[in-house]
Amino acid sequence: MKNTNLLARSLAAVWHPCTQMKRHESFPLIPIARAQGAWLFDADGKRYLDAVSSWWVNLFGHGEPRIKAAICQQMDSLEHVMLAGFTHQPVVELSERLAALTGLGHAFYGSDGASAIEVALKMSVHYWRNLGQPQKNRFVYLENSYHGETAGALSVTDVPIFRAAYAPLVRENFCVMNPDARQAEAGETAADVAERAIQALAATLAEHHQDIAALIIEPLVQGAAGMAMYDMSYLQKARALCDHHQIHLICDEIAVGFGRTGSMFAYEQAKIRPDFLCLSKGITGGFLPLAVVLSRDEIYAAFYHDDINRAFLHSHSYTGNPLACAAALAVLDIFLDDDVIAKNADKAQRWDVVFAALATHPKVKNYRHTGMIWAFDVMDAAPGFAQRFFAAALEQELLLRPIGNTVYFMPPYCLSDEEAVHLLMGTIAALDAVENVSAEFIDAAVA
Amino acid sequence: MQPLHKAQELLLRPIANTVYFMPPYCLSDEEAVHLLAGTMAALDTVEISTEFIDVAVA
Repeated sequence: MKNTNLLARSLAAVWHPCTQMKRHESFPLIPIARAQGAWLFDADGKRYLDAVSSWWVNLFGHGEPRIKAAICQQMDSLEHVMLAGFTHQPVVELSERLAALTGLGHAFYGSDGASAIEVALKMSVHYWRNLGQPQKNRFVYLENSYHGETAGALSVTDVPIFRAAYAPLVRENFCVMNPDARQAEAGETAADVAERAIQALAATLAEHHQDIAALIIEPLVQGAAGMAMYDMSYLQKARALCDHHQIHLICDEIAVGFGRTGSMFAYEQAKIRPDFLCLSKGITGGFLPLAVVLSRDEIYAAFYHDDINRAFLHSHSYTGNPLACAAALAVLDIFLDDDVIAKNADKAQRWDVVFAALATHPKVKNYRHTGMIWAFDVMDAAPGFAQRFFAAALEQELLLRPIGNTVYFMPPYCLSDEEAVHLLMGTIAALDAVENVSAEFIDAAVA
Repeated sequence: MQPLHKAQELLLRPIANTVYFMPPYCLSDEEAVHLLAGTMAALDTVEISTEFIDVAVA
């Protein structure tokens, strides 16, 4: 199959996500035939370093043999059974192990990140209803936050390009200042910005806490906002405010969980614990769709009753799919067997030295780094920069997908030091090559 | 309305008072007979329970 053939058929038959399809008249799709480790290969033999881990899902590289083997082995006994009224070994073991890792005792499964957000929002509101406080049914979310694009998730997402068209479907909630350290004014530290954001949160909670069920946040890094990194003091103070006002804290670690920020889960660094933890993306190492919401025992207990109306009746067809759970168990095994968190810390230190050349590049500002995420902003980027840089990076055998004028690396953890150098050199070459002319398309910042 | 699968080797999940079959297409004629016979037996043996008041869920 020649690439061009497949491209035409894809454009004729597939409605691609997060895409104005007309743009593919001038920017061709990339048809991927196979993938191995950090590399994607197209049907004509061109290769691309997957520096965004395929939308942040791929932890250990493509084709990781232990995850593949776990899925194959599970297929020999049970590919799927409904989880209402039934259970199975992989879902029990995964739930036990996630509880042991987080201290959050019960696991409710969905299929992707947005479905986990919907579950957490509904659970929070239903909890307060079960406690006789049905008026606590609104949420607080942060400026520029992204939690998904289903109707409930959009109501806590502050990305106009994703939300505006659906405004009649989306409930209004409370949007407050985020702690993005790039907002620091002269003389301000990241902690100072976090403190300003906390003051804004405190004011909103003081005024509206009777009506608020939960605060939802992306701990340490707001991903789709353009890898907005912030001081962990925000998490500690937000946790204290939630406790003070009797509001749930929902941590959305769909993007930042599973080692991405340097700890297994980002909230651990602030020594806090959320009431709800939403996980997806890396949970299966990028092999199969799976999401989970972990909740505190006290929340689970509020649903446990003779009255079915107090139960959480939410369901997805593939809830707790055994193949996906088997993949997730293999991922947890790899974290232990390969000592991933400690090894990643060493790698991150080495690669930070490699990537440091970007910090002083004349086109670059706000070079920043958290765990296995690196990002920088390109100065005076003309509209359409993201698309042009994406194209320029492909020429350098790199898959990079800037968000607005933010270029970020979120590589699979298997990246070698040589591949890190390739990533650096290609990025610099793409920065030099990308023309700073106004594009035919005005882009919104999308991941 | 508890699932009736244990006694008759059947997974059936009524929606309120509706019992339905939606079997995989691979069902054999013999298995269809098993399904019928087990359903009849379950209908004969099921007791009206007042322990839980259920709403209609799939």
